[in-house]
Amino acid sequence: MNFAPVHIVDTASVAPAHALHYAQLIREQLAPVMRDAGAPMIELRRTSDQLGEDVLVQVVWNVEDHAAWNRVRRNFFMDPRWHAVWAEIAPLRRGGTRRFFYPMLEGAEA
Amino acid sequence: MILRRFEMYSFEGAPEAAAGFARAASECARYIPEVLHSAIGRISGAPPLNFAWEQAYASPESYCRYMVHPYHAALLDRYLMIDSPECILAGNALGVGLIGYQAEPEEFFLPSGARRVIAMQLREGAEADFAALAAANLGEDGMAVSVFKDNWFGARWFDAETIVDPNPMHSHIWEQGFASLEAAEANNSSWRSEAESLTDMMVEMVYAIEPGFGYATPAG
Repeated sequence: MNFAPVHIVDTASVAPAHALHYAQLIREQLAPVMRDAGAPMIELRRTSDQLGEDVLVQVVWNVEDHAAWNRVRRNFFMDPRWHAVWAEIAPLRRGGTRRFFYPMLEGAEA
Repeated sequence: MILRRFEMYSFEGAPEAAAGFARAASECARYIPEVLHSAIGRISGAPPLNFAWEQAYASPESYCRYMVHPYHAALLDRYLMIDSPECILAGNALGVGLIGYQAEPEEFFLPSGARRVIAMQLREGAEADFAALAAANLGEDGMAVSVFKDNWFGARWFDAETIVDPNPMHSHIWEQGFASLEAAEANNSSWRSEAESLTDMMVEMVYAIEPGFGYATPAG
């Protein structure tokens, strides 16, 4: 299996009243930090807030491979902006998952 | 020489999540063979710290293979990084999230029993005196392991070479080993006053060793 590129898929469970604010923080404050660290955001989406349950907000970051992710991780960890924005974002989450995916649309399963 | 590394954490949240990390850390060497001497422990008496993971690596190259392995990023960090929705780490200001040193494996090898790990800020000029204290206590009152080294890994956590944190909170580490948790807890006073006189601060962690996959011989 070729583990590249890597899509880091973070799916957060958020109260419906906080979903737009959560997504705004991701889009406007976190995404620039992640881009500068080397991991551009390639997806940001949510589920409906008309379901009587938490909204799932899903963000997808893209990196070349796991070695690149290791460098990105060091870069954002050393960036005070990353810590500041997560101090705002983390309390809004009520659960969720992080999974690493490898695109297969182009037959990268070798 | 081998690279000795500790991660000391404060976990919060559902017990199932902490159990998930414990399982992932214990099984790590099965999937990343570069991870040596891997064991976990439940820290008692040092709140908010409650979890220890000790490991070793044969070289900086081995450590880098661990760092870029999918198991590290996708499974271990799932529980440890605040940007992961599954993070169970509670913040603390104790500076022991990643510490470690360089040593010979025979110096610390102990796949069962208990540890006391003391991270410290040594007073200026006290290194020789503390080294003598650690050497004098080896074999005394059940202390089967006594390794005193500088916190080499605290500054080099990224690749075991590049200094990314030139001033880690702790300058040195004293790793002790005992046959049991009871023996570790009983050995608590003979060295303490001198150690305190040689340091500006100490963070002390005691735990029973729960050996992970493959922790059997000094060679691996």
